[in-house]
Amino acid sequence: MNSPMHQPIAPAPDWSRVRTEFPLLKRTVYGRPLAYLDNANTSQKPDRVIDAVSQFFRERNANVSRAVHALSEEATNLYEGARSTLAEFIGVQSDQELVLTSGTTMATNLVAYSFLLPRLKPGDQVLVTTMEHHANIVPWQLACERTGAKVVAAPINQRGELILERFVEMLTPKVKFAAVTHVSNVLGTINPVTEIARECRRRSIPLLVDGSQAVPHMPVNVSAIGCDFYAFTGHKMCGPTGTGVLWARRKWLEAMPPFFGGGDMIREVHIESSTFADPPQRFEAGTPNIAGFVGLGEAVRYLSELGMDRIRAREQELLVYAQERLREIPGLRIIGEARHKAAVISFLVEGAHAHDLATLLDLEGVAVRSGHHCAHPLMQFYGVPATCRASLAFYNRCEDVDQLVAALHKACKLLV
Amino acid sequence: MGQSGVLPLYREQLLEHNRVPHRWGDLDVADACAHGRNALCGDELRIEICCNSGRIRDYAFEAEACVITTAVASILGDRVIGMDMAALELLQKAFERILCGSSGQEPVLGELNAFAELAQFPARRKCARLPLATLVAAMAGQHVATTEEG
Repeated sequence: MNSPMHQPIAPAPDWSRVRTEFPLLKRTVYGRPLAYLDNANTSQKPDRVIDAVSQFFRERNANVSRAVHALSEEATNLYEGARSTLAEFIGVQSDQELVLTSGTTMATNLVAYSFLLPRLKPGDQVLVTTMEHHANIVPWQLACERTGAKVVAAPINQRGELILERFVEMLTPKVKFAAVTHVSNVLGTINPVTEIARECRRRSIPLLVDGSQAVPHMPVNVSAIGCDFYAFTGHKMCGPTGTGVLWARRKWLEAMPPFFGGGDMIREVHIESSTFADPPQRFEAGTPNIAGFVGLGEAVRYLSELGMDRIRAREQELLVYAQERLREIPGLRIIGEARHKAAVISFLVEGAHAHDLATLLDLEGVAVRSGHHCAHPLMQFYGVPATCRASLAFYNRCEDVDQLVAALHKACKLLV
Repeated sequence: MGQSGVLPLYREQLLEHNRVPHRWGDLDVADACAHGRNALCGDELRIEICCNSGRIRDYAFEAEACVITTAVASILGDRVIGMDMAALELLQKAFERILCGSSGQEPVLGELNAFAELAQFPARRKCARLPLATLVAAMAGQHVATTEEG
């Protein structure tokens, strides 16, 4: 919390100017201005990030941690600099506790295979919640299938909030690991991860928090949360695709065997056996996404300069406006009305299938996602096959929401 | 592509099939039944058929699906009466040609030619494919079908 990155910056950014820094938002779709409301899927990228990646390839491209020449030194400094920037951004003291991955999915799989698999026995349980993304369910299932353990889910209420008492009751001695999303990608629900971490610590149950939808939208201080693992992805926070982070407590990283083998993760290799590098390099076999992390480092500096507090406040304003306007649509039902929620709005319109709505909105230049959003158990809980989801970012405008609402009126006239 | 390139997909003729689908419901006596499901997008339908000497004599369906899937299933029921498996496979190949844009119109498809606009919407083709895949599965004695890969 003492990081300068988390301190409010005055004055408030001029959000209409900020929007102009995202070149893609200037384009049209089917002759209409683009209203990009699929930010939970991936974010758009500002000029600064695009330029950083481009400049890396034009001026500094080399492999990291291998050659002694000047370019390699520069590339290594940039790549390792991104690790430090990311560590500071999420409130972590040591950047050596950050494993740079291809995204959250690789991070959860690394934990599943390297940390969890050797610890599970028949009858053990892994506790998740009903609102998890498949990336925070399936890796645990695969580990459980190999060991005779099973994944169990703590329930949510109709508003889409985790029933914390039930979660705590389910933290029995059988539970060897817990995994919870910080913010739901479908409902927008912000989970009380600090309380969850406290309850897990009391019982010595390691906890992973999936921060994919949290880190891009609010200040996150991983040390203050008190979890054991925290994973997030770069492309949802203005960075390039193929970048992500696994933060883990040093004691766990040191205890974890390698997951991928290859170059960069070894100390010494003989034909019969090898010795391995210390974390985090132990888990970063092969040439990493160097340019991607150069871009992500720049994205973090960009977000920090805007101020994560200000980004959160801006998105909350947009959320309130969008929910109010969407309620004007006859037959529209918002799925997920948690008291603490991020700017993600899943909705259904009676008599209209989500895919038809999404295609008709697309024709009006409005990009939303339709489908199950990689959260089948959540769809099953609400008894719906699919929803439409509008997810907002700080560079959206009230006009984007107006365009969505006008397009929905038009689509409903056709379908309902 | 302008909006005019898309709206034919949601033309009144297809919307009407979605509002009042033909051959909706169950058959009193069914020889075969298959369940089509595209779990990723949330389209589901059930097709029942009654056959005579290998030819479809009756057809009924129910769906919880998008306009595209529902309209294809509705039109399909009228189209396939009297067809055997070989005719169905020819129909499926012709439908595939218009979905992929390698052919604009196919006489065998009749009203199904209305879906030629899907050549411009690759992401929605699986919705159109689901009813025919489900019908072929029912004819082949299988009980489930999907047109989602993987």
